Amino acid sequence: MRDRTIMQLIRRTSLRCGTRLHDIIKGASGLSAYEQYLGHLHARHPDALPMSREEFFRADVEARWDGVRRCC
Amino acid sequence: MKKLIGIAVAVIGAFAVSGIAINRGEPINALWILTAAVCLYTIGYRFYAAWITARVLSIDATRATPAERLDNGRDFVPTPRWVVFGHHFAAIAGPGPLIGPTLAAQFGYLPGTLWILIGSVLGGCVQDMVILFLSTRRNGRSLGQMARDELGQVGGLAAQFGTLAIMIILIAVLGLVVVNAMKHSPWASATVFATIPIAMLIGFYMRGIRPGRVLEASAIGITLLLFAVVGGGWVDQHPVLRTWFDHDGPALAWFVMGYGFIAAILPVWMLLAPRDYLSTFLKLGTVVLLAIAILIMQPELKMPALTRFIDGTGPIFSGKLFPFVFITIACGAVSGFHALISSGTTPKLIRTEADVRLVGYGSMMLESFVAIMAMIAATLLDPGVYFAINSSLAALGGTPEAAVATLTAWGFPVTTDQMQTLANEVGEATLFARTGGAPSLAVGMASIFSSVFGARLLAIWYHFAIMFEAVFILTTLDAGTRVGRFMVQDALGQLWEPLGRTSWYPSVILSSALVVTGWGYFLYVGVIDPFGGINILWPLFGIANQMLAGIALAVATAILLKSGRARYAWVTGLPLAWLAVVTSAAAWQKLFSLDPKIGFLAGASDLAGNLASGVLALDKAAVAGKLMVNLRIDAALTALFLLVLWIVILDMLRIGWRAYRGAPLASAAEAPYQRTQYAEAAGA
Repeated sequence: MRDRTIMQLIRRTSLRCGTRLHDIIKGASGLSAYEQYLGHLHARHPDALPMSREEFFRADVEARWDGVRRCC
Repeated sequence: MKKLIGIAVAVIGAFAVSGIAINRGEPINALWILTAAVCLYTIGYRFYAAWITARVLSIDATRATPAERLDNGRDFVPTPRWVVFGHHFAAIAGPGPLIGPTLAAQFGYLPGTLWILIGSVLGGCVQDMVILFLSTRRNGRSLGQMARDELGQVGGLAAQFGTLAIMIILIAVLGLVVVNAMKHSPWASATVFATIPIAMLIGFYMRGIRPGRVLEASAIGITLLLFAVVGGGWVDQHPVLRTWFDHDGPALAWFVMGYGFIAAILPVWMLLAPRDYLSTFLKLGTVVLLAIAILIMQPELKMPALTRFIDGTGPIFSGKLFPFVFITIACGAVSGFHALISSGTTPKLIRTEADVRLVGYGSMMLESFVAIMAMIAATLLDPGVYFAINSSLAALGGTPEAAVATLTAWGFPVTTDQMQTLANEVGEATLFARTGGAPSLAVGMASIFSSVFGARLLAIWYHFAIMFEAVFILTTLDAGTRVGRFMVQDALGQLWEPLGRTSWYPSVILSSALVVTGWGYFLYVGVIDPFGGINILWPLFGIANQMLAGIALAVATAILLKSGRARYAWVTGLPLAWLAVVTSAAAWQKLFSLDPKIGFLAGASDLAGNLASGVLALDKAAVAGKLMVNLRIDAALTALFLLVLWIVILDMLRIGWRAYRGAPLASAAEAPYQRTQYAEAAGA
């Protein structure tokens, strides 16, 4: 009985850690950037016309390199 | 429970640090350093950074950030914390923390390691986080703008000048590192050249074929890069092909200049952006791999804790432990440059003030960890080998035979056979006098990797490490040229309006050419300098970088003083005081030391004297004139850096004094409070 609870706990924790790690990697690498943008636009600017995936990444590249964007 | 873990971490950390500090005479395991680093970072993040955010900055998670208030879906966008972390780390991650610690290892492993750890936890991470916070409270204003608002016109100008000057020196020194790594090495050159078309291919892939699939594109890119490393080996074996890639220093310097110019005028998506992705993933991957390899292999450091060169007679660069270890480590502990990224871009993405600690403090911790890895890789090598790779032959007697004799007499035994065997193993013609830090880091990394992942692959690992550094350096090189170009265009636009248009091609070409000429000059003189050039340029870069950190910390301190938080002003004030002492001492010695190896002016007059009396060898006499001019320019720059730093500090003190007396001050430019709409961020 107890063993099962512990096993469940371990499974749930590792699942949660795995999901969290996956989220972190997706977020930090910029993989989910477009989905994030769509979600954000939907929630905060519902009447704005969203950019296509291609347009979004073009704009993202321009924005990233406009000004001081790199260190030593 | 959390407290218990905290205490455990503190105890282990204290144990590891004292272990490193007390352990003398017998070799120390790299694991000690790794443990000390991880524990110190944890304590710094968990306690000191948390205390600063809560007490000193009074971070308020209910306060709407500019990203939320000014949300326009373009540059102001509330972004999840890990995405901001990724953006921010990619922008601050550069080759500096790989080079500085490698050079500073000439003093032994102890001073550099301690400064990387203490300097980052109490200085660098604090600077990044505080500036990020202050800029977030000011609608993402840049460091230059904040300096103008809080200190006045002079402070603003100083910050702008500092940025451009650092850019020029930084690019020159990085160019020199990459030239020295490729000099007469067909394998390294072929691999580095191959990274250019690979990056362009990825650029087209991400733009046209699969937009935004960064992991996919990076996986393809990194596979191709690995192939380029192996392919470089084939080129090296080929009797005809290898001659195409076998060049001397000046030829490669011209190539780097041409490359920088073309890369700076190409659209960013074609070369710069894709390579930036590749280099960030490569850096993270390699550092994690290194950490795992060190955990498995548990290597012992062969470098003593302190070497005899703390007296200032070091062959890699001259100057005593104080202040030059701090100037040399530079970006691995405190980097003024990060203040430019922490203000301006990143604050416009921060969704809640609660994320400031992770993004500001956390990403600098990771950057400092990279510096620790570089230090371990350098001190794992036999000290004799380390010095033979990193010193110019001129500093060790002129020939490889004289060099090994000098080093052995100094107590760092090494033989020419040993160096030749090592060079053969890594697939290079020679490893003597490969100054700049990249080859020695590559040998260190290769020896760690090959001992864990296969000893026969030493040459592959070596060139992988060279490629890894070159990818970073080339990214900084063209991004830096581009940044410099924007600044020059901004300035020229004041003279004649069309020159300020960033997309007008004649202006783009003119300003890029000006910037490339600026750093190209220092690079070229560095390449023809028989002492290797790094010994002059790196300290100059360190002084410039620490000066900019001083400006950033002075702005932060002025704001703390003005806003009634004077009793906490030491949080940025103490690092500022220390940097002011270190930078001034180093600049002073570089200017006025009578030792021609340290003082720029003494070096110039020594050269002039030798030239006049005819004791210089013919090849040295031919370049002596150029070197003399360069040394005097370096002296003028150093004097200017010193002056700028003190103008800003005095300005800060003036404002602090006025605040103390209750005299009227320009009001703090913080944006007014507005409650956040993000309920979860407010914790409600």
